Amino acid sequence: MADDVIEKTPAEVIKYTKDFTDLLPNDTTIGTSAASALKSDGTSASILGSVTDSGMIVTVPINATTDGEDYTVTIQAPGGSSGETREWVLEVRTRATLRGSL
Amino acid sequence: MLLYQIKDIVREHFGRMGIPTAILDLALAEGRKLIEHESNFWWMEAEATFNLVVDQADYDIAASGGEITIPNFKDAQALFWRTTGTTFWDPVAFGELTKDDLDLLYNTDSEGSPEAAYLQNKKLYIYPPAPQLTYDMKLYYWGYTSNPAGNTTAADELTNNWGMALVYSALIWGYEIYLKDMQGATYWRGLLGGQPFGKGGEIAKLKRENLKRGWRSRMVLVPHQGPGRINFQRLTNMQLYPRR
Repeated sequence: MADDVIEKTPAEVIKYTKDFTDLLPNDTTIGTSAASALKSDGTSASILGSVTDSGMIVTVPINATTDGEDYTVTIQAPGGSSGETREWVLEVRTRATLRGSL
Repeated sequence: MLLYQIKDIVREHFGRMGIPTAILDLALAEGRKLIEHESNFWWMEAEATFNLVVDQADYDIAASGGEITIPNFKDAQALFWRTTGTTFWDPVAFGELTKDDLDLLYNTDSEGSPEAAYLQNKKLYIYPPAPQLTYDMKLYYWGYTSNPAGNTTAADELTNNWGMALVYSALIWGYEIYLKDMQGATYWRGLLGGQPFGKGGEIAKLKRENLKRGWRSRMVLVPHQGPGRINFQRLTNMQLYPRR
């Protein structure tokens, strides 16, 4: 089950940010963060740009996506000192025409 | 419709954040089974080939690990055999006798080409039970199908031409299991199958279409006897004109 859901049009490029302060309360920095994306059929999707982090905030660029697809993006953030690793699952729904409040 | 369009229609009834995608996928998978339980529909037809093993009488039907690989097997239609290297198939009497009758008719070491078969749960018994050659076999069957793998994957018959049936069946599952709204589920159940279930709605339309397609594949001449008996004619004297 996804932690967050966003909708975008196929051509939009979105920089999704996630603050891991609440999930990693014993850390003040993040180690090497990473992100991966899967399509609805479970295969890998090449829709993400380079992942960056600043303090406890991880930024994941989401590039152009295919209309009709639902992507599952998993953002992984290891704590800088606590030894914990937390993940945040984002669902990205791409719709060219179906928009509105979720 | 493509799968994402069906998902969007179902989601709108729960709120687009109201149902997790994992639950939605389950609703669609079980919804498809709800439809396919009602009959052996044309899109469920398939065939599988396998070879007999010398002196082996029974063959397991399984998604993997069995002698006959069929995922989601539902029902058998017909069974054919041929000697390896030949180009013509012969039918095997299938489902005409019960297993206890066949066990009486054949010795446990009877050899020969396949003459009869019986399906017990997901195990296929071949008679005579000790074939001496690795005959080629072809099993025609109906199997449960799955929704397209991806949102934008090419649609199958059910999603492409009967998408609302899948929407209604997914909503029935979602309202009952997820929302615990039995009254709402009853409404969608009525649209899917009518009252009693299966006699109306989309299911009735699917069954009518299934019957039309089934009629084209076979012709059965049934002689009448009793008060309704008709005069018989030699087939060589009678012209048969199948109606289109």
